[in-house]
Amino acid sequence: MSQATARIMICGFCAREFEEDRAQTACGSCLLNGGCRWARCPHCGYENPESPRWMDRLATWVDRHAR
Amino acid sequence: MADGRASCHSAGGTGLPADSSRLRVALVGTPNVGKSALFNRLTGRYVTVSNYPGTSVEISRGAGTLGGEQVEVIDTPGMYSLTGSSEEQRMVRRFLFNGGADVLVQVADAKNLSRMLSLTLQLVELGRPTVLAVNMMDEAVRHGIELDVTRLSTQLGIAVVPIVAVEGSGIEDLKRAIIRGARERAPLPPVYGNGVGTAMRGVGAQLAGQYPIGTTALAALLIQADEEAIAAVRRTEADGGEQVLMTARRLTETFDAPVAYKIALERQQAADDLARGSVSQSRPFGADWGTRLGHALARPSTGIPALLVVLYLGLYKFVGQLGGGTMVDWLERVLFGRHINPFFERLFLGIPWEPVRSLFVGEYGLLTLGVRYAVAVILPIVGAFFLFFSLLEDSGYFPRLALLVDRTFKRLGLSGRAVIPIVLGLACDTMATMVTRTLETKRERVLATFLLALAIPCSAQLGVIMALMAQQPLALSVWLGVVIATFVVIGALGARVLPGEGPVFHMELPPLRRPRLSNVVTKTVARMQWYFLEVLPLFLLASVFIWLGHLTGVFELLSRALGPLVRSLGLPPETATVFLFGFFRRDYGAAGLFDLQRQGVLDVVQVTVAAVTLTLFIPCVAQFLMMLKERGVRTAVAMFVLITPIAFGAGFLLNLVLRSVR
Ligand SMILES: Nc1nc2c(ncn2[C@@H]2O[C@H](COP(=O)(O)OP(=O)(O)O)[C@@H](O)[C@H]2O)c(=O)[nH]1
Ligand SMILES: [Zn+2]
Repeated sequence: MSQATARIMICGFCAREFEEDRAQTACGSCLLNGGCRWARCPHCGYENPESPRWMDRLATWVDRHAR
Repeated sequence: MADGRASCHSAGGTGLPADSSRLRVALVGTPNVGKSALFNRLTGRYVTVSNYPGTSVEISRGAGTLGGEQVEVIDTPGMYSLTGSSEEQRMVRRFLFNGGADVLVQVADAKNLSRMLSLTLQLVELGRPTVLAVNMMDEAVRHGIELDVTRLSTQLGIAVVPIVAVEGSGIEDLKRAIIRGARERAPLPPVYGNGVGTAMRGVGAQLAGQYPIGTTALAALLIQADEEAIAAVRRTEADGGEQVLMTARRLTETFDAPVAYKIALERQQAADDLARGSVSQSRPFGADWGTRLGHALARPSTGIPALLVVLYLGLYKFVGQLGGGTMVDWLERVLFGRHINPFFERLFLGIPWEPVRSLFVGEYGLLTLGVRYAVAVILPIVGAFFLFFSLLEDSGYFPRLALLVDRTFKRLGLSGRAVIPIVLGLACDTMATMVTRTLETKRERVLATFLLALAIPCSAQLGVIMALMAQQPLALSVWLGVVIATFVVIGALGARVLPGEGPVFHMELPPLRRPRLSNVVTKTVARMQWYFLEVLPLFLLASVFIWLGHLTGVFELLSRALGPLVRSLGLPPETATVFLFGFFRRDYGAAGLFDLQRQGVLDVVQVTVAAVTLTLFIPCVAQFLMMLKERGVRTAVAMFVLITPIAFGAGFLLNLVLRSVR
């Protein structure tokens, strides 16, 4: 059974989990409209930094080559 | 999932059951709550896995026997909320909307019930028979969590059954509850507070047709302008839904924050209330060291001293002395002073036209000033600050800070919730101004915006000021005292001037955590990357403006105009430039001040006065634009007009006081 594909984030403020995808609903009226590097927690409104893509890629690369 | 089982993949079949006489039971829940485990318990040997029509989302179906009755059990993808735009969420929404299930069974993790209940409320809104299966009771018991099933069941208006899916306990009770639920009347929809609840009821009351989902859920979707819901209303209502759609549209426009977000918040609040009423932790707090520390940090008697220690070590020692002192020193003196700047100067020596050369190198050059400020002054300071910030964040300190200051904040017309924008303001006031949107009342939003603009220094400014005064702890305390006093006094005055009710705030304290290195590093890097992608271009732009200003003489003119003001604070004329810089970017101004102090132009009193004035001084251009956007022209301009005299007035008084005591 396929699980939700959205990345799960844990809010740095309230420690609740949310889907990165769901954070976008909070950005509807922002100028950048979700194009920014922040994911707003749908529970408390805190802006969480999204980890940069290149860091994710680096992490997977390191993982692969560490073995 | 079903190893050894017959399974068939049929992309795009009808999806819905061929034999509709059977009772259809759908399992719904967040990921990792044991949905698959329960599905296996309820179903027999044959399971079909197919794609839901028109999607790539897989859905499993199996036959089961409940109370002697043959039923179909459907497993849906794990999700936190039905509203959302992922393919899975859209699919589940469509599935429920089309009446794809007769009974909904939400599988929930007993250890995190408050996080699960907002989805429960969404399901109850649908107005279908619903059962809440509280799974992982074995682990909950081990954690000392007690659940008042009867109370929760009464409050939700649905059956609540504790189970342990992996062991099979509670499954028979659950089966009975499902059969009973299918026969009984559907639950009454939850009633929400605030504007959202009223809006949902208002829209719901205007719906006359028959729908496969409850009017509360439909109303919520309509207010969120959900296309499928609108289409259904157009099809079903006698007048084509004109009336109700207009009401919904009007309501959508009256909410200033995104409606989806408002509704989610309201649901979460209701969920928290439910959890508070029916879940308790029997094991006494303080059983372990971590929880005891966690509570001590939130209690004023111990929390305030702890906060001071944190600020002293983190901001003063780490950001100020190490980042702003040692590291800046090396970068400035060695890297830029000995290597980079001379290199650029040599490079541009060949250019005969002086103005062009001065654009790049020289006192206000793009390379020698803009890049140097960004890399040698701001980078180490901001880097150290973000590291400190991310460390606190990852340890779970911020919610404790929220509780700690809640009482003080109430006097300022703010709730503990306002700690979020205020804390974020210490990173970037512009972003924080945007976040004030999440506050409940307009009054609170205005007050928070004002205080952010007035008394909250942003990360770079804070860092530079720490560095500026790292050698003079006394001056630093004066600066801190004056800024905090301004924050409190002006805030209290503001709360008096703006009438309205004090906000209420409740927050569950998540546990204190041991920060993880990888988290802290990732968050720090993410913040720094954001900062530099935004800041470096602006630094360069500001450098160009300043160069232009010099070339045309406008800058001298402005500086001279500011001259008397600056002199009245007892500051040398050069500081006028710093205030001008400060308008382009807060940090830029602070960096300028830093430069002046290192050149030995300023004495201690002057540094303190300048730092206080600059901190309180008008926000940078970006923040001001955000204020315009969020609070409107009139409010933003009024704040601007108020802040300037407050800043200079405070500087003026401080100068008088400090001169006289000296
Ligand atoms: N202790 C305990 N673990 C459970 C229970 N139900 C499921 N689990 C475990 O929780 C994890 C997630 O279960 P799974 O059924 O895959 O969750 P799903 O993502 O909701 O389908 C698995 O490791 C299960 O073994 C339970 O009642 N008690
Ligand atoms: Zn949060």
